[in-house]
Amino acid sequence: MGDQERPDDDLLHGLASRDLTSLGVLYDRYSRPMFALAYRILGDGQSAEDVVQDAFLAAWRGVDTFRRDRGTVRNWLLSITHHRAVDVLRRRTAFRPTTLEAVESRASDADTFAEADRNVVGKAVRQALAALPTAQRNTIELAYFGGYTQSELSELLGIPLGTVKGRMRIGMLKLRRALESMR
Amino acid sequence: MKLTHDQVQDLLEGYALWALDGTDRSAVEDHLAGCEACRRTVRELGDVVAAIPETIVERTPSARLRDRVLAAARADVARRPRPVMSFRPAWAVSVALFVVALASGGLALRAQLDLASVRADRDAYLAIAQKVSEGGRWWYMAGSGSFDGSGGTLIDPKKDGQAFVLFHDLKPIAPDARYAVWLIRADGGWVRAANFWPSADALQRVDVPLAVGDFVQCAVTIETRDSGSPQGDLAMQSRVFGQ
Ligand SMILES: [Zn+2]
Repeated sequence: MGDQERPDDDLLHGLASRDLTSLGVLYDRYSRPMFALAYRILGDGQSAEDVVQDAFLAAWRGVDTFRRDRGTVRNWLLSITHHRAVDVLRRRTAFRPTTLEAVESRASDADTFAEADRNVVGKAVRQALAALPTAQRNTIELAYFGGYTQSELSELLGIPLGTVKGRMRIGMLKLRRALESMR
Repeated sequence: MKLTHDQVQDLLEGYALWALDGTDRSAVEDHLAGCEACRRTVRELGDVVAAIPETIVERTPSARLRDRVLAAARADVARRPRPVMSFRPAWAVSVALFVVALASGGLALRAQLDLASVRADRDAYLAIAQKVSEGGRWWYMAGSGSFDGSGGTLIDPKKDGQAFVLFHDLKPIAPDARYAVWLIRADGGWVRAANFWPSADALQRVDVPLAVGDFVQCAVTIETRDSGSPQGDLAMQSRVFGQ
């Protein structure tokens, strides 16, 4: 079996025994979705690459924190990437849009929802997101991709904190149902 | 800041989306350590959140990033010797992280997250205690009789000196009773080191404000008084003289 076909589990064992080849295979497998996510959040290639590097190093050091019963290796790596990218974004407070218009102009990353139809999950989630009322969709996307906390969203959108939470809750519930129905 | 179950429920979507400020996030994680219902909700929400990045089109980073990542990992190996923990079941990792965090006086909230789902296997638990106390001493106390299944490890770290017991699966006791931790000298004398009440958590740390050096064994009894010699039932006792 070639390295590129080795299952994720096997690669994690490799990481635990400090095997750089395993890390390289994981990189080849997941660097593109990780980079895409970091790029979507941070908006520039250099910072996004730094985040991807950090995320792989975190996985390399913290392979023990992976919980097999909580999801796939892909999800784990994407979750590390997400948290790190958002943390980087939050440290750059000076550069964060503070009006909704500014956010929307920045968020209209043309390729975000362009293609990706080859990804079945992606297609379903995208459809489910698109089916949400704009207010609910915005709240979720601004939190996830924009790195805004609930309190910041309340301020940004000029709505009470309880409304932010409510929109998130209902939006997430609908997404969950949509995902369940495709399983 | 301590939040109620309802307050935490209200924050779980934000938590799953990484959209809480640090204070709220810590408070949620504190609560999660002891609440299975909230942990279940977080897992379910986590599945939804995990699907969101799948909506993005993949993008290729510059070719040199691969070399940078591998070089950083290689440098990391050179800088830090093989980690103490090897690949092993997730719960064991949580315990180990938790113990390390406690020993260093830090608060590894992320590690606490999984604590309450821990059901400690005695042998694995022993191995972990041995590893995390590297250089120091440790004793495992196994619960006996009606305390079967519970246990604790007295850890005497070499470096910062504050000894503590990490208990797992403690049984509830009568409201007017308390657990007492005893250190036993080579001549058979028992010295009371601490009194405590069980929390509802799967793991509980109890500090031992004594120099452990002169003792050879430890035990836990159920007592009705805060001081005096041991009178009550023996809950657990160390069999091992740790290295
Ligand atoms: Zn709860």
